[in-house]
Amino acid sequence: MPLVYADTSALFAFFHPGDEFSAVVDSAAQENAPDFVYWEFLRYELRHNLRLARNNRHGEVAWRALRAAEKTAARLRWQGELTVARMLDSAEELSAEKAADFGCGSSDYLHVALARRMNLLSGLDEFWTCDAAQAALARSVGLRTRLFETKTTRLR
Amino acid sequence: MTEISSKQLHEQTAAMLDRAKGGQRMKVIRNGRPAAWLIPATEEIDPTWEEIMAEVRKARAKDGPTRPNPILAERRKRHYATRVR
Repeated sequence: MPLVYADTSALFAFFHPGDEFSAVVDSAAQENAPDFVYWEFLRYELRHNLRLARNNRHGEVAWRALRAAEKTAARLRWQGELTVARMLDSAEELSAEKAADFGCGSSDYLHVALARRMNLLSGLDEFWTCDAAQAALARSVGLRTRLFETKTTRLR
Repeated sequence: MTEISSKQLHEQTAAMLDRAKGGQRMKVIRNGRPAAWLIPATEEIDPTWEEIMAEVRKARAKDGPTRPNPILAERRKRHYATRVR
């Protein structure tokens, strides 16, 4: 199974059937059958946004799928040793290196910093995101990056 | 890891199930190739994405996209994406 770091934008779309990127992200997932990197900040951000979306049937379906995936050891690969406290230094270094050129937000830097760390430690097959700015940052640190787009988002 | 043939499994099903119940993991070989695992029911098996995502895929096929991605919407509100050079 390839190991992919999917930013929260992509993982949300993967689980939520009504998301604008849902079809394109799931198509890539069906094609590659990846396992996803999962750690505390990503879990918090994903769960928070899925909780906010639990106001209809799609939201409930997404929440149940996430919880089923979280019970596995492989589909979402938990990185217990990579804590936010430890990763903030890496994000700070990345920001010092790239902030002048890439106007992403602080949490975007945290995701890319962790993906870069994972890539150096154990090899990462791809970085997935729906965010063009974050994709540019990820590519700049050498991550093989897949940016998901839809007809609508291409026009924005 | 113990290997057993599909013939053994067919002829000694109860005994093989007892061994698995007792904690033994067995690889079932058919036509010289691994065909299946026989493992204790107490062991967890990770479901595949197909199993986990069945309801999500069914809902998507029925209704299609209905909402913008909230993570991107939040980032846009903060104008993060405007400074890419």
